[in-house]
Amino acid sequence: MHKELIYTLYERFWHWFQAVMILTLLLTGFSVHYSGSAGIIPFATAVRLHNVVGWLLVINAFLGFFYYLTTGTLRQLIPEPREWHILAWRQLRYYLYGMFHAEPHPLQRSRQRRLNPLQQITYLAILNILLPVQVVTGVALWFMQYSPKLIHLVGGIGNLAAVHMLGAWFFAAFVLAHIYLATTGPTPWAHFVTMITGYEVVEGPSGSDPLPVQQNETT
Amino acid sequence: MGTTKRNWVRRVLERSAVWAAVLPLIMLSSDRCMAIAEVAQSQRQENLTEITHRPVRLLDANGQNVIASGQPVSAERTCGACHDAQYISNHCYHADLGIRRWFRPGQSERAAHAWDYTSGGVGGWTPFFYQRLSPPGESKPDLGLADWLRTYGFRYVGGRLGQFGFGDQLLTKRDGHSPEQAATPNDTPAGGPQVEKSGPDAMASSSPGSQSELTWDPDLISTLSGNQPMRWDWGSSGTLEMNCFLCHLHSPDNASRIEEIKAGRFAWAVTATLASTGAVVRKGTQWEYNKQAFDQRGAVVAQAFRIERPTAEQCGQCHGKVVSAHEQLSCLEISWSDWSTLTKGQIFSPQRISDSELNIAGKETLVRPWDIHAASLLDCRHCHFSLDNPALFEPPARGRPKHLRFEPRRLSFAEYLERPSHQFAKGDTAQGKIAPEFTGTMRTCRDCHDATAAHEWLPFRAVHLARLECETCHIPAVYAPALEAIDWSAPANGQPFLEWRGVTSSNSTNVPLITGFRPVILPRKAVDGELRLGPYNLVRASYWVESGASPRPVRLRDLEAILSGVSHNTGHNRSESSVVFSTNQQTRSLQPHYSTTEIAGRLKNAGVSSPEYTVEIWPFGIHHGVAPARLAIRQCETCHSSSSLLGQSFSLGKVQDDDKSREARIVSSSGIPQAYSLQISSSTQNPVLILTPTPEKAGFYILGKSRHNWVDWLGFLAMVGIVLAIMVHTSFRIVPYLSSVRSICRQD
Repeated sequence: MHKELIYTLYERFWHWFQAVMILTLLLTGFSVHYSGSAGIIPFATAVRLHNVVGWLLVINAFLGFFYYLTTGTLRQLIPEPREWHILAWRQLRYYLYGMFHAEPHPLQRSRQRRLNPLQQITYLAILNILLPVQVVTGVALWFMQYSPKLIHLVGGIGNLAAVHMLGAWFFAAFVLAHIYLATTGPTPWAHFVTMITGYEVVEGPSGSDPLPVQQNETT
Repeated sequence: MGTTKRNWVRRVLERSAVWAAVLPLIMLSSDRCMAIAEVAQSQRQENLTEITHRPVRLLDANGQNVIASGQPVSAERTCGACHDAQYISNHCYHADLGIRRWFRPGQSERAAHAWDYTSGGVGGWTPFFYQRLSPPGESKPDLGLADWLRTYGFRYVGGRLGQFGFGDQLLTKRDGHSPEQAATPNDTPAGGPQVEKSGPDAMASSSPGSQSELTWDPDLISTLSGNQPMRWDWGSSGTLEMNCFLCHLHSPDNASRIEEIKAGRFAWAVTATLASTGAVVRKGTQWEYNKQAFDQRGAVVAQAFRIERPTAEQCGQCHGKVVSAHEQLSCLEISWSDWSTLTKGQIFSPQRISDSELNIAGKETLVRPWDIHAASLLDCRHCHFSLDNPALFEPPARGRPKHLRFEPRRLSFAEYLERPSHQFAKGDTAQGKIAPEFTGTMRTCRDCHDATAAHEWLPFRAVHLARLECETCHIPAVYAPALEAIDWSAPANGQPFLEWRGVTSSNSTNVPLITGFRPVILPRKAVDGELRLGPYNLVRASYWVESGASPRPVRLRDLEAILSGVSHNTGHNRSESSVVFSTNQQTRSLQPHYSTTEIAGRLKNAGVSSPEYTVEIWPFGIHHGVAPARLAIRQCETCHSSSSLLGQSFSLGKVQDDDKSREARIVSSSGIPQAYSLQISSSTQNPVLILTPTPEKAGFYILGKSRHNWVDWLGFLAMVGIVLAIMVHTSFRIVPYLSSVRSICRQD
């Protein structure tokens, strides 16, 4: 057992910064959408904050993309083409059965392999579909203040708002699931602590390879 | 170098001296500004009417001075001595009311109703002027031209329609009379001109269900003069020529003019308008000229005879209440001629609302003028100017070469004064379609105000300016009563049942409390083809239509004939005058108390074919009563919230027939899309028709208000699913944990 650095300082900063911004966007976005009923931030403030934070998120996303691309960390998002379905099934089985019977986690995390197969496919979908959709529709909604007529080219503000709102709901659902699944570590707080300190307690000697497949799960 | 320095020093010293002198003045001026403005306002009338007009010789139709002839004044001959009166009359939609281009009913797709025969004006029927001037050839005619003038001429300035009717020949000529034989004060009977039985070419009968035997000629036949249609004697009555004095005289006597028109003494209408000048005096039913008011050359020298440019007061005689700075607004009486007050609650006045003596709720806080433009010394003509006025003319953007910044081809002032077009610049109203060729020629808010510069604080400015009319935010409320519903389905004493919004009747006193109202915001296609949200008052109109091949509203006389046994709820009858609302008394019209089935049955028995109870909604765009900028709507939540103003429900009065009311539509010619829903609210004792705007149906999406319900439901279900999954998963995680804890405890 030893402590291993899973997340660098920048990665942790990036994560928490992105988390704060996503939560702020959700809060302000829902305040705009449900203004006067469930909105808790005044409309004008919510719109301004939403626009500013939205742009910060876009900038942070591009910085993150640049970082993950240049450090090669981006590879961790790409699923293993051959055994992904096996690994994904094991992960799913662990979530639905194994963890209730005190089975060990199918994936031992390390700095080189931080994401389980289900995380990989989820983050890929979010980074390649949901986030771009939100950014494009959000920027289009923002841009209409300069050219209201151009908005008609993309189906009108109503259609844009519908897609943006649906994306927001999915983001909210993702955040909820993400936070819950973060409690499925060795202890409910383990993953939170890791994302704050960067270190995680890993079995085996320092520098050993992760154990992607457990012996007893081959059958 | 030294000289330069000395110059610089001298300039600084000079400027310091100037500032030293100016600064105290600036400090004082802040207090003085209001006083100066008030003085300017009080002197407004005098300043504007200082323009002196040359002495006027009043001429009769033969060109003789009326002092000598004793004949009625002819404005056409009197003013025509210097101005091209013929040209003016022929270039004035106020004078022809669209009659020059009338069409057979049902032949225009732009018409609001199948029975309309002009695009607006006289042939564009509205429930506010229920009785129709029936066009030539119509079976079961309603009013002839003389009848129509007597009934509705109080809002008509005279001219083309009143002189030529549907044809091109002067009515007095068509009748076999010449203008020389026009009625004189001495031979005009008190009850109006002599009417002759029209003989064999008269209508056979005008009783319900009867058909005309011969072709109906509205120019010659009167249906109101007796039990039978009769030929109208234009030679005796004279025609209703364009009354220049009604708009250009400082204090025209409109009441006397209306009296003459109602009596059918059309030729004397112009003369009666001069009663307030002292140049003419009423003697019984006749008029005599006051020779002391004329000089030796026969020109009027009376002090009160002041010719001037039309001010808002003159326009207000037919278009709505105008209260000048000097007039105390102690009582508000609304009559049928107060069109904009009646339909929109408009009062054009520079006075502060708080200064009026009206019983207005929260009046002490309304320290603002009734209309900011009136307070800024603007008159109607500043925006609705004569289209060839060289000082105000601007070529319309439509069809104008983009490179053309200035149009030099305009009249000289001399040319303009000789032949001033009386085609006035007009907007594009939802309720009126007269002279569509001039639609959008008027000066709008954006022609004077730079909205972009004035709204730097406004987020998403371009969107707001593109999708909203200025009035939406700048007329947040109306502080006078306006019609809510007009019901002609069972008229009492020839009058409809009226309901008012913006006013509540007080039980403790006999004085109504004016609460005002917030206009409903609806989308409408503007002149440039763009849909914009603007403020409206809506009036529900109910009436009977005689459907069939030639549908038309059931004639008032037919309705009155079958309604003799119909009871009306008790209430004060309206007064004998044309006042339909007064703040001095409870003026409630009689509420019909009947079933539509019962009335329909009676109409059928009386020969009205397929009577159909019709309910429609008339929109009236609110463009006046603009508030100062500080009182404009600025709070985002006013529109961007679940309780958005843009979705605010609007009452349309008590309903008689639920199904028909639900089917009601805003009149199609208004350009307002059907972006609204109608419900019947039964929360009160009487069911009320409620209209709720749904701008989303017209392509608007208002953040904070608009919803895609399927998106919200899908998102909500996704969240619920995630929460349920977490709860189930958590419980499965906790159970083994608790079991292990229990077993450890047992082992201990």
